[in-house]
Amino acid sequence: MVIESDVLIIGSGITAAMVAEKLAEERHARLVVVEAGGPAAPLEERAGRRARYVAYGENPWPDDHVDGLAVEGMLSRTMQVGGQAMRWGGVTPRFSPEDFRLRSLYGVGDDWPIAYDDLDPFYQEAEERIGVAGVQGPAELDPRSKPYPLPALPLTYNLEQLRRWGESADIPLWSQPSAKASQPYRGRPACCRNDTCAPVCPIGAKYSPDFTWHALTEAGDVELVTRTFVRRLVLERGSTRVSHAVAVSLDSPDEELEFHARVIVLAGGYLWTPHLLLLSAEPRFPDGLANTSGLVGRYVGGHRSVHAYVELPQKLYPGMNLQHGLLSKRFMRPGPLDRYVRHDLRVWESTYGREPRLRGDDGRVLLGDELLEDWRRRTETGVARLRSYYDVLPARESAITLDDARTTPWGDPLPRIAFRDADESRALRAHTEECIRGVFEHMARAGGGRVLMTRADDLQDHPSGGCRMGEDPTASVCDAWGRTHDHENLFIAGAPVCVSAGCTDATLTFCALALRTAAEVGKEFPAREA
Amino acid sequence: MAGLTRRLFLKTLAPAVPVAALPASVWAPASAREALAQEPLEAELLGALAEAVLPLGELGAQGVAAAAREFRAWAAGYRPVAELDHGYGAAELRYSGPDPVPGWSAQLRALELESRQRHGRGFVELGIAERQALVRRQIEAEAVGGLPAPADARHVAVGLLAFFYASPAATDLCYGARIGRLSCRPLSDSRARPAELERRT
Repeated sequence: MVIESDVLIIGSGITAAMVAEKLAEERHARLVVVEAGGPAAPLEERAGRRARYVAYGENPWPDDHVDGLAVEGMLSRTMQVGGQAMRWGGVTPRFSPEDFRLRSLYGVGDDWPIAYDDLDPFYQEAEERIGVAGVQGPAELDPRSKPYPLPALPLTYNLEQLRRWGESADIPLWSQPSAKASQPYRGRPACCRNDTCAPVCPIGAKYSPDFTWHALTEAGDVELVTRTFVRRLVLERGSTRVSHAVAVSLDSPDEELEFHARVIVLAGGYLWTPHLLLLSAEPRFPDGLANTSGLVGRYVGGHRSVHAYVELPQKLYPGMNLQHGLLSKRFMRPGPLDRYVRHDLRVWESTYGREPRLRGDDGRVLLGDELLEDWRRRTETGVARLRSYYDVLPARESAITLDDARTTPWGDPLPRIAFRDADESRALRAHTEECIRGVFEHMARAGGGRVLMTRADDLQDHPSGGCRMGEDPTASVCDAWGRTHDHENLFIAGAPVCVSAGCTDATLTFCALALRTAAEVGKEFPAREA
Repeated sequence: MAGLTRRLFLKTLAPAVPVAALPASVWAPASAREALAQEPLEAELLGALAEAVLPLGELGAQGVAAAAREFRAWAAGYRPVAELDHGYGAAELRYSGPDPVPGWSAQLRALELESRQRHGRGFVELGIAERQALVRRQIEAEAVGGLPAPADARHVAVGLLAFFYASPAATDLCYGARIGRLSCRPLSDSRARPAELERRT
């Protein structure tokens, strides 16, 4: 079976949704999107599924995975229409200008081929498409050319106390930007603090890509093919252009599908995008498509984090808006450094150490009113949760490769993930984590409180890379627009093109990069009238 | 004690049970349970247990009875081997454990038997302190610190406590304030300190 289109988008997560929506609005082009997973549960089912999640911990997105595609070290098994962003927290800070110039400014890592100002209009566009509610922080820390499309989510009583606490420590904190509607926005209702943004917003106040897919398919702008796993890309004869993608239907695994398109956009994220390119090796590209540089799958990394809980001498009321918090970029724009350290700072209310318990301080089992009294006594002081993501610079060997020992249900090698810090990053790790703990200690002292506990997490969050962008075809996989150096009609959107992973939540950056790629793809097709 | 990762932070939300916020259909018996024709928890014994372990002085008899009823309904709605949330940071799929109700029912009967052995009366006829003493003996080994997720409780008394204390109502009771955790509340109301909770008179 052959399906023809002008643009084939592989993957249906948030970056794919950005590409499809922009192209559908601005260009005359037939769009086909292919997704390995099945459709996400419709909005009208969310409240019931969320209730089961809250009551029993059940998956609000049941069957949102494809059997046989488990990879050790992957961040999530989620594979459904909308991807991981069906269950994301909706937190959308931008990277800072420094992120794009680490080598020039600090002598570490690599510069991107684009600057913050190049991405600013696409950040804005992404914020408008997904409806980000935010307030600009201090301009020197949080530059932007236009206001947020939505006013910030209000600070709860708790967060206002914590903001003042930050102020007392000389650390500016402001409402974290979030893709949650602070007032009705493009058909989405205003957030009403249900507290389960991740994994599921029961009312749809938080953006998720199913809204985009629903609108695009209802309007007939996109053909969305689900439960179909793309196994390889095939080149045109006598050319380096990609001719088509070969896929297998999960429902008819004996049938091979071919998706032919003028332009192909890979939007499968940091893991499955390099995997597909590596799987598509052929005699002219024996190491995989787009891989003349040898860098497909390389320089993969995220940001690690240090966490703390701080007891403060004031009463807080945890649960007022559990997943909303405060952000500071103060440490993302450091002054002159003796050693390189960059990190963000997030603050939330917390119940750490304040949960009800079965034994009192004397070891006796507590029952009846005693248990409640014990709990109440321990909530007279409040607790803040702090977390900082910090830069991790990946080594070239930090890579997605093909796993010869494990295969997909269709016999192809599965991807294998191996994170490796660059030498400079490894040398800085202990120092970085110590500096962050120092910030937490400083804050605790300023508030007359104490740090209850800290921990550094080994998890590399928001991973990206694997198809890094650059001007030099020998040192990068794609150009500054996401077009692969080796194949003029093959583009990569979102996370894989990142040169570094930044030190804050990265989803908005992936969206902005994807929109920039869509702008370039769109040049191949006639414009729609505004 | 819960760890500090984002993953664990999100997981801490899972066992929270907003009793008042849930539609009745959530508790509807699952087809798997119907097939097994499982007996629900015995109501009178459960009520007597609730009076012994829940904050009777603060909730009052009616409040305790309501909490026991909700726990019973929650237990009846439990689905064994249901796919659990595999949120961000969790690569492996997880499934809920076996139905805790048969074991919990047996424990309720054990409380009744032990009551008759020790006191010559049924559990419901004992005073609160006597009931608590029986429960303490049975949960001594399990009561190691914090409360588990309700379905993970090995003893019915711990399950009941875990269920109640995970509820937004319990949070409000503890803080003496109308926080309304996990319920739909206007954004604008969040700026002010939560209104004080009226104490039961």
